[in-house]
Amino acid sequence: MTVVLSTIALGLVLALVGYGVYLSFRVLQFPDLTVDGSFTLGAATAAALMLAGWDPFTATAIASLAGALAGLATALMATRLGIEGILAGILSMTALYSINLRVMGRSNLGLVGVSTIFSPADALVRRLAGGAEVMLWGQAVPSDVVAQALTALVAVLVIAGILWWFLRTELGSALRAGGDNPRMIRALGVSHEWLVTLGLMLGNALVAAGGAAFAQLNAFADASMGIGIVVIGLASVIIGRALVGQAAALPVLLASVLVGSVLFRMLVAIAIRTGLEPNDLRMITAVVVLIVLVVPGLFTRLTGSKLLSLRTKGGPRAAA
Amino acid sequence: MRGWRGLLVGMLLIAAAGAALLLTDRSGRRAVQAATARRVAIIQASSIPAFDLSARGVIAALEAAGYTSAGGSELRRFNAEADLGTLNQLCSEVANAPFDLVVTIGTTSGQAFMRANKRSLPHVFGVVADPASLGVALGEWREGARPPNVTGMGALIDLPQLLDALRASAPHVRTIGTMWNPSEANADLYAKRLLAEADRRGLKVISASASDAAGILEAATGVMAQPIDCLVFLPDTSVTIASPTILQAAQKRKVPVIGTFPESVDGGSILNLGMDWAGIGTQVGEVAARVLGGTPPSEIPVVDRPKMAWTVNLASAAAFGWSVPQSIVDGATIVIAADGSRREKRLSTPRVQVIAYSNAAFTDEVLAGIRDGFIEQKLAPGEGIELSVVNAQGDMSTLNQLVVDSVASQPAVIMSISTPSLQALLKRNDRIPCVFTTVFDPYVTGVGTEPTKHHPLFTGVTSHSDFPRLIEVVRATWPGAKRLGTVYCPSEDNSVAARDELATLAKAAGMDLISSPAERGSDMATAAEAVISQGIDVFTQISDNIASGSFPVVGTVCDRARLPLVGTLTRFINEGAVIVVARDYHLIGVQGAEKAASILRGADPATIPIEDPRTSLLLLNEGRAKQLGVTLPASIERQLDRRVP
Repeated sequence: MTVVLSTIALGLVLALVGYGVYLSFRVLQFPDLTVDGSFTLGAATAAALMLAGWDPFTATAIASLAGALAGLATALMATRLGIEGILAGILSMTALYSINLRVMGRSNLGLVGVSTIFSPADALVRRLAGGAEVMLWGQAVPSDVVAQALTALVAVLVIAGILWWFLRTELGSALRAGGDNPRMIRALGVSHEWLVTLGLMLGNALVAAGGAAFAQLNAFADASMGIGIVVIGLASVIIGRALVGQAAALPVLLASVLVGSVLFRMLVAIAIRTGLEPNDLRMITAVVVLIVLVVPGLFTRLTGSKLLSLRTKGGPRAAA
Repeated sequence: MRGWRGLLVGMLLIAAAGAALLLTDRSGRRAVQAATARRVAIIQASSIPAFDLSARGVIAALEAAGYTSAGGSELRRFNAEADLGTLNQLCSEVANAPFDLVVTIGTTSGQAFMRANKRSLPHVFGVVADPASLGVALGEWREGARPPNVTGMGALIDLPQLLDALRASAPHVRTIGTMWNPSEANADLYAKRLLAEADRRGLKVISASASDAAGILEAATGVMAQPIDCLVFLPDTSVTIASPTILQAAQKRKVPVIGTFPESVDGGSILNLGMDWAGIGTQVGEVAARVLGGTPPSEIPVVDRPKMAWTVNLASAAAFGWSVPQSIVDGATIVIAADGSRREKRLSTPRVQVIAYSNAAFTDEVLAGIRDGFIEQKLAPGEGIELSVVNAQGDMSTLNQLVVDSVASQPAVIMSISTPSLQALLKRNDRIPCVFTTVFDPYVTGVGTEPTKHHPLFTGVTSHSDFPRLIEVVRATWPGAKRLGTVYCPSEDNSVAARDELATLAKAAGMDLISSPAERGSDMATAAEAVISQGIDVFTQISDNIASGSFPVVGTVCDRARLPLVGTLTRFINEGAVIVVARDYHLIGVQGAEKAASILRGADPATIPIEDPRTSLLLLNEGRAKQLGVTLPASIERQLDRRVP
C-alpha cells in the first residue's frame, strides 16, 4: 500500500510538469525545452530558500515565480529576438544549468529533517490516526506517505481547476486560439507574441512548482534532476491523450494529463516489481507504455470490437 | 462530456495497476529463512564505473561472509539508470519490501532511500564523499547525529595527502592548476578543499570550471596557458572523460600532472591517489555483513577511511626532475619505472571482464566454456575470480563504450567474444591483458602475424573452421563432386578470408569453389540462388555474421534445388544442413579460460601463442541424408560425434 500511495504521490507531483508541457507543447504548440532547466530551477530555489529558513509554501511559490522568469526569458528570445523556439528553449536550459548551480551554491542540497509543504498534512494525519502509521485496508502505511499523496492530490486538483477556469476566460481562450491559429488571433488584434510569453511563463511556473514539490518529496535537490524531465511530461500528456482522444472536452483533457502521469508512474512501479535486470529497466518501462498506447487500437482493428477502444471519434478538435 | 469514457478506462487501469502492486506486495509475507539467509537490496542511482565497481565489491564481501544464493540469501541490485523519478520509486519499493538490509551506493541514492525508509530498515551507505549531505555525522552514534538504523562509510579522497606528496616530490612547485564541473555531486566540495589545503601549504591555485567534458578540455587548455608548475586532476566524471586528452596536451606543453585517477599513470600523470572502488565496496560490504550478523547500525561508527591506492609514473617524474618518495613508490599499486616498464600489484580478487559483441547462439556456448574453464583451473567465478560479462547486443557504438568502460575499470584480464570485440579492444586498450575468442582469422585484425608473433597484450583462441576436415568429408561422401558453392560477405574480412581458404583447399582436392556475395541477410536467398545457378554439386556454406543469422534461407534454397548443404556451425544441423563440420564453441571458451588463468598466475600474454581450437565436431542430420540419398562412407561414419534424427 505504501508503494501504491508513494507512486500516486509521485505521479501527481509530476503531473504539474505534465500541465506545464501541456501548455507549451499542446496549447501553444511551442516546443519548449526550457522545462529541463526550469524543473531544476524550481527544486533549487525551493531547497535553497527552505534551508535558509523560509516557509516551504512561500519557498515553493517563489520557485514557481523563478520558473515563470525562465519561461519569460525563452519567450523574449523567441518573440523579440526572433530566435527559433526550440533553440530559445535550449539556450534557456543551458543558461539555467549555471543559474541553478548559483542558486544552490553547490550541486546537491539535502533536505533531510527540513519541514516541507507535506509536513502540515503529515501532522494532521498523525493526529487523526493517533500515531505515525495509518491502517489502510489492513496494512500499516506511514503517515507522511498518506500526507504526501493527499497534499499532492489536493494541490494538483486545485491547480487543474485554476487552469480550467483560466483557459475558459477570454484571455485563456485567446491563448488556445493563438496556439491553433496565430494568423487568426493576430487578425483579431491580439498580440500573438504576448500570448506566447504568457503561456511559456505559466507553463514553466507549473514545471518549477513540480520541481519544488519533487525536491521536497525526495528530500534533496540535485543539479542533474531535470535532465530528460520534458520526456516525462510529454509521456503524461501523450498517454492521457491516447486515453481520451483529441476531441475530448477541456476538463477531460486536463484530467487526462493527471491520469496519464499517475498511470505512467504505476507502469514504472510494475516494471520495477517484476524483478528485472537493473539495466533493462528503461527498456521494459518503454515497452509497457508502448503496450498501453498500442493494444487498444490493435484490439479494435483486429476484432472490430470497441471494448478496449479509448478514443472518442469525430467531432471538432478540442480546444487544445 | 467528450472523452470521459477514456478517462474512466485510465482510472480503471490505475486501479488495476494498484491492485497488481498490492497483490504482489511481499512486505507482509516473510518466508521462514535460514539463520544466514538474508535479503539485501543494493541501490545505485546510475551506471558509472565507481558505482558499478563498488556494488560488485559489496556483493563480493557479502558472499565472502556467507550470504550467498546457495545459502538462501538474495543479494538484489537496483539501478535507477540516472532517472531520479525512478530512483524515488525504487527506494519506495525497496523500503516496503521484506529486505533485511539496504545498501546504497552514492549520494543521491542514499538521500532518496533515507527519505523513503519509513520502516527504518537497516541502511548502510557507501561512496558518499560528504555524509553530511545525507544528514549523517561522522563518528559514533549519538542522538541527532544520524538515525539509529543507519551507518556507512564516507569516501573522501585525501587531498592533503596528495598535496603533501606533491611538496615532497617537487618542492619547487608554487602554482598549481585545476578544473572541475561544479554541477557534479562532490566535485565542488573537492575544489573548495583543494583551494583551502593548497592555501595552507602556500600553493597558489589557478582554476577553471565547465559543465561537460568538452568544456573541461577547454578549461584545462586555458589553465595550462597560464604560468602553472603542475596540473591537478580532481575527482569529477567530466574530468575523467577528458583526462586522456588533457594528459596529451599537458605533455606537449611540458606541464607535469598529478591527480586522483589511478589509471592516468599510463598517460604520464606522475602521482595519482585514487579510490580502489572495488576495495571500498568491499569495506562497505563488510559493514553490511556486520549488520546482518546482528550488530545494530548504531553501534557501528560512520568512518571516513576509504581504501586508497597510489599509482606512480617515475618516467614522467624523471623527465620533470621530480623525486617521488620511496615510501609512496613501495606502496603504489602501479609503478611505471624510469625505463618505461610497468609493475602492477593487485589488492583484491582479480576480475575478469568478458566483452561479447552480440547475442549470437555461440556467445552463450563460449561463455559457458569460459566459466567451466575457470572452474577447471581452480579459479571458479565468485571464488578465485570475479567474472563480469557485458554484451553490446550487436551495436557497434555500444561496443566501443563497453570497451572504454571495461578498460577504465581496470580488470585483471579482458576476454572478448567475436571479431568486432577484438577489433574494438585493439583500438582502445593499451594496458590490460586480453584473451580473444571466436575470431575466425585474428591476423586480418592486425593483432599479430603468426601464432607466436602478436601484440604483447593480446593472445587468444581462434574459431578457425576446420576446412581440411570439411573437404575430407565432402571428398569421401560425394566422390564425384567437382564444384562446391558458398555465399560470403565481401565487407567482412573474416568471411573473405574463409572463402579464400576454402577455395584453396578445394582446389588442392581437385574441386572449384563457386561463390557469390551478400552484404545483408535479405540478399542471402538471391546470392545462394546465383551460386546454384552456376551448377554446383555440394553447397558448403562458410559461417560469417551474415550467414550465421540467415543460414535457414540457404537451407530452403538448397532444398528447392535438392542439393546437399554442408555447414560449419553446430546449430546449422537443424537449419537445413545435412552434414556439419563445426568448431566446439564450449571448448573454445575453455581454451580461452586456460589462457586467461595463465595470465592471472603471472604469465606474460606476449609469450602465450594464439591457438586454433583443438577439435572439431562432425554432425549428421539423418532425416535430411535419407531425403537426399546421402550415405556416409564407413570411415566418415566412425568419426560422427552426433546424429540428429
